[in-house]
Amino acid sequence: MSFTTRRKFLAALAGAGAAGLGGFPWRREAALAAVDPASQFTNRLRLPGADGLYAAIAAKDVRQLTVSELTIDVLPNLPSPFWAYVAEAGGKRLLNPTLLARPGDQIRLRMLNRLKQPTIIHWHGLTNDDRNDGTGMYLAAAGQDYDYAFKVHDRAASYWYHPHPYGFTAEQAYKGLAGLFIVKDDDEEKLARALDLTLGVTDIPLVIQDRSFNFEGKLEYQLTRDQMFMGILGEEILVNLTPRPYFDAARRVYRFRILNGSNARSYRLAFAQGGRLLDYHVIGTDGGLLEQPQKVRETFIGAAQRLDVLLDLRAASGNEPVFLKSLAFDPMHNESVDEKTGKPLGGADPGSADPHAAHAAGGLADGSEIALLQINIRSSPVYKRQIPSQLSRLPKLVPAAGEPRRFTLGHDGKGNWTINGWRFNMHETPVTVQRGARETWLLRNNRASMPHPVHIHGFQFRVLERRDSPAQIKGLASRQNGLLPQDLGLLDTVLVWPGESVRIALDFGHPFSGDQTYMFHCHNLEHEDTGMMIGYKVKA
Amino acid sequence: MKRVFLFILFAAAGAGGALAQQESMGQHGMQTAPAAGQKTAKGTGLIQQIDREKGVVTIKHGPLPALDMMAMTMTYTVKDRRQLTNLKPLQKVEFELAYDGKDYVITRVR
Repeated sequence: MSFTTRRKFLAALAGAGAAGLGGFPWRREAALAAVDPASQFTNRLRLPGADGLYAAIAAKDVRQLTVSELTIDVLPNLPSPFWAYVAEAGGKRLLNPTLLARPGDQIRLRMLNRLKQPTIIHWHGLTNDDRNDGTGMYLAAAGQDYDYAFKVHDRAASYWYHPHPYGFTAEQAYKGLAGLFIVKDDDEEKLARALDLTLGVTDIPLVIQDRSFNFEGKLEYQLTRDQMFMGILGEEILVNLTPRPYFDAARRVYRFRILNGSNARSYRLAFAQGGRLLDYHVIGTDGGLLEQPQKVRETFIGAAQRLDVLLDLRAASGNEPVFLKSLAFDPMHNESVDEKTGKPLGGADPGSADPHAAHAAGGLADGSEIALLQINIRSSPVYKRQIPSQLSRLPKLVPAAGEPRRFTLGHDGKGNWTINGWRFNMHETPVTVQRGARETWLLRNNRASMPHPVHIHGFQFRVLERRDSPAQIKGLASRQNGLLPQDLGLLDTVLVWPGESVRIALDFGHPFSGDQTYMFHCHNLEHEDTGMMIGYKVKA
Repeated sequence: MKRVFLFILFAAAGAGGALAQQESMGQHGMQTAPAAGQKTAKGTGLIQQIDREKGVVTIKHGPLPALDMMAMTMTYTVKDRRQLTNLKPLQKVEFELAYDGKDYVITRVR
């Protein structure tokens, strides 16, 4: 069965709906347009507290994380199976705790795997040796433990932790396993003082995840063949595991540390009041603060990426709620276009909505406009702080001389996503780099493809150039070389769009002796689990 | 071969859904009195959306064998829109659905 044939079939199905012969009777985005959105956002946003979900704790004080199958109310008053990292501290039980650290902290903790399948924790974005990185080469079998011991080498940023056992990652993450690992340093504290920011009050982590629930309100992960290929798209968008959330705010500056913790979905983030988009500032990315704030009105965020933003609610007019939204965009499910021309095969309408994506979403199509969080302006305190013009200093960018190492993202026409035609093999490392070497990597996504959030373990990197970006990306470029505002920071994950080429600079210097093996993969977790990943060796 | 089989399975489920959904289209604003021979079913579902002005509710519900309906998400007219007053999105509800050969109408929801 070719993709063209499959697409035609689905197009026919959707077309039948349009003609009134059947099809999909309910589309969330259309329904939301018809109903007052304020009446839909009735659940208070969950925030890191003293215990429970996301409770904050110093990482060096955590001795044990138990990977557990629990039951919690994800939807209000509806118990659902849920998997969580559980820590016990001071007689309190913390679920997916927000781990806090400073550079130089020593982390020593034991992971107890109480799932019925193997698992391992990947400390996403942190510099670790391969034993502590959680690449998936080392696993804790069901019922077994795994000991981590590592030093925090990295600058302040919102890192995160999640499962990484090959073949199980998508399911385990989807069922709940994910938490933030926030590193703070002097630059961070200077910013917090300048703007009077407090974690959990005015410095707000926002973990955005799309999930589906069955008709009894239970979280469910059941992949169709289509979702295995495209990545799963949930029907409900949760922020901090809160469905349709609201947040009561004051008229002042807020910092939002945004993590796209979805398996596959990307978002085009904007703050809207009525029909007006508010300016906001991107101040940080995966690897921490930018040098200067970047004023934007919209930004894309791919799976696993983090964006640190400042929103000044003094710019909002009146008390009408402000919504954090994902604006409509072309999700570019272009896996079946002609690679040479970029045009659809088989005469399909190139501008038509992708029935494939719509079907996978069960009513909340990829790329549709979605309200994520309602922000109510409840008070207007005296607040005269201004956003600093200088935030931090980044390490000097010294690109490598010579030709880049080239990687092509694509699929084999048989339902498998590949990197340079390779699929994951635990026993192979098709790429070897020298410890201490600087390299340029050229990540080229085929036209016959879909967006891939590419994650590199072990090292942060810088974006040097974007070429052949689609119009919706090119329009957001703020600098020469096609760079987006978030490309000005340190990254561990970069979203590469169909037809696009992204050049990145890597420095393979690290403090670990001996050969180290890391992973390089698509962070669409269904893509990762089905083989869009390679191991690479750093030779000592 | 396995993949082809899986896809056929998926496609069949999709087509089945489309056909089942087709039967329940057309109820908006077409509320009619229950006719003789009317069929009813009791179901459990999760409310997705409420439009009190139009008197309709969107429910993700389980299978309704008495009406030959598979599990699906569907918007239905409510016979007495006062029943929508205390409902909230993402609330689990029990409901009764009636079909008179033409329209599907929720006669009870709580």
